[in-house]
Amino acid sequence: MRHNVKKIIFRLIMVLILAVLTAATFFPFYFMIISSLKNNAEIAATVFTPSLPLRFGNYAEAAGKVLKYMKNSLIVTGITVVLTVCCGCTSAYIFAKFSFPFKEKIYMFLLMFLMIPGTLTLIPSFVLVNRLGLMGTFWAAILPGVSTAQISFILILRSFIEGLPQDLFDSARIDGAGHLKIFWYVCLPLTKATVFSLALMAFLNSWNDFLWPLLTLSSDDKMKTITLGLYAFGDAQQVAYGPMFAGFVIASIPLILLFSFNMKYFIAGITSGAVKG
Amino acid sequence: MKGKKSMVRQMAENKWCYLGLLPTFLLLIVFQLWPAVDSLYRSLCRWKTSNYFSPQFEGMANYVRLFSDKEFWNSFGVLLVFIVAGFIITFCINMPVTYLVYKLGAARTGKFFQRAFVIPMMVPGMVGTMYWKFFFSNKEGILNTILQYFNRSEWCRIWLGDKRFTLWCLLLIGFPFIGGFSFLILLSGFLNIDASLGEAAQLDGANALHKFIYIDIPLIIPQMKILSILGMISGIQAFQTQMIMTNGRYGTMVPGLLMYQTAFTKGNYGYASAMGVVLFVIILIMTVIQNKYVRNADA
Repeated sequence: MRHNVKKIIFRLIMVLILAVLTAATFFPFYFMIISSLKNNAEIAATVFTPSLPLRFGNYAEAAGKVLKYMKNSLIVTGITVVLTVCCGCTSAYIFAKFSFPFKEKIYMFLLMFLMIPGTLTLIPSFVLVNRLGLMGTFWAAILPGVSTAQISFILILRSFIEGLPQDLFDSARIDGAGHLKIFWYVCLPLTKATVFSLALMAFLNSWNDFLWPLLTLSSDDKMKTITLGLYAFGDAQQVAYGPMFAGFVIASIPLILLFSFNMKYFIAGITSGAVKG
Repeated sequence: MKGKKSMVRQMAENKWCYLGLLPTFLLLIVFQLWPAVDSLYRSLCRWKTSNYFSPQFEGMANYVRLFSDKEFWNSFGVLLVFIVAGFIITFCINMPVTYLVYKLGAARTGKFFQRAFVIPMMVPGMVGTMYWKFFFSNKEGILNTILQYFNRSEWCRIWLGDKRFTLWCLLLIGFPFIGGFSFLILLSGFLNIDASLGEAAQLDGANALHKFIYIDIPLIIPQMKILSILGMISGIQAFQTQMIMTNGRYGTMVPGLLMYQTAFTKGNYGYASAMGVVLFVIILIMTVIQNKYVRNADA
């Protein structure tokens, strides 16, 4: 009985600590939301509480700027993720389920690319993209992005597919399924959570990328991605903070909404041992 | 001779495999390998804005200059501060909190906190950085407002423009530092621990702290290894925050940002390429050492 009381108290303390930390983690979002409904004077006067009137006009003002950047980001990130998933799944499946001459040598060659850091390739990539005539097109951001993102995708998915019971693949084979069918009906349903989490990581990386779009897409305002657009908010001489924070909120909402519904998959995909030592 | 022939035949039989791998490796070779090799060559060239299209080979000159470049080597001191801070944040702050979340179990409260610490990952990184820039900013900044609220206006200052404080401010970005990718990886490590080990230890009279230190931590060493290697590699290259917050002024210059500015602001591409190569070599050495050292500690 006493043991149980002690346990409950322990649990309460744990929850309390975590609740305080969660509050601190979410304070910036609280602050941005309340500030997005104020003008500069109101932000300076009352920092921690909402103030009347609620200036929804800030959102109208910000949406005009932010939405077109979000559309650009959606194109860049969308194509990047689709291509990454296509290349990644194909290569991972081939490495996991086929044996052919030089397979492991080719795989080692792939692993070698993990050692090439982005800082080494930054300047020559800029030259390359220029020379290929991609500068100022979305492909300048997409193709190098896919080339990097697919590496870890293949590594993790290959080991995951190899860990699946071979019997499943054999019996599908006996039933006369080709590899395309096996991949689609046997492999993919079992690796759904992993593929989803890997795709999401690729999505986040691409969506958050700043430097490379800054180098390749910033010359034309029509091509700017969301990170560049948000960065530009702080650039103006006289910053109106209300619309700036409104823009931040608008930029954050779609991803949070989209992935709140899929959070279970994401956490399960990563914590089920998709990433192991 | 016969073996060679069957090898060719085997390769021909598996032509679809090679074809399937083609897109992956085409992208890698064009957008990774070629730029990497190119940067090795161009780091040996006199290559500035004036001769952007015709770099001139001049041997080791860039490297000779680099090794006596005080600004470059000083930036490694700053980088070290950022990397050490990153390790402290991951292993001394994030890990204990992750453990608490893990200990709450799969009940509703546990699931709630799991989600709560993952959701901030979905907010664009730029939003976070810009928020912290505002937090430390001069006039309407949150920090100065808090200080005024507690009648400490004499402590107010231009936080991002003061050599003594700016570096510390940048280290505070992301407070309270919980969540994100390392949270997920550490959580996955804890969740994969065999519960019977802990029960056995409890029967032997181990308390919660002992269990954490002697049973659970050793079991998540693989995850800690991944995070420390990733933290090191990405830490050496990271300069986005410094660029946005201070552009490297007030004692916050890191090597990556110096490289970026040397190339794209000052227009000395060859010299910047040499910096990139030095960073690459450092990352390579670090990874090799870390792999060896951590593997030994494992066994």
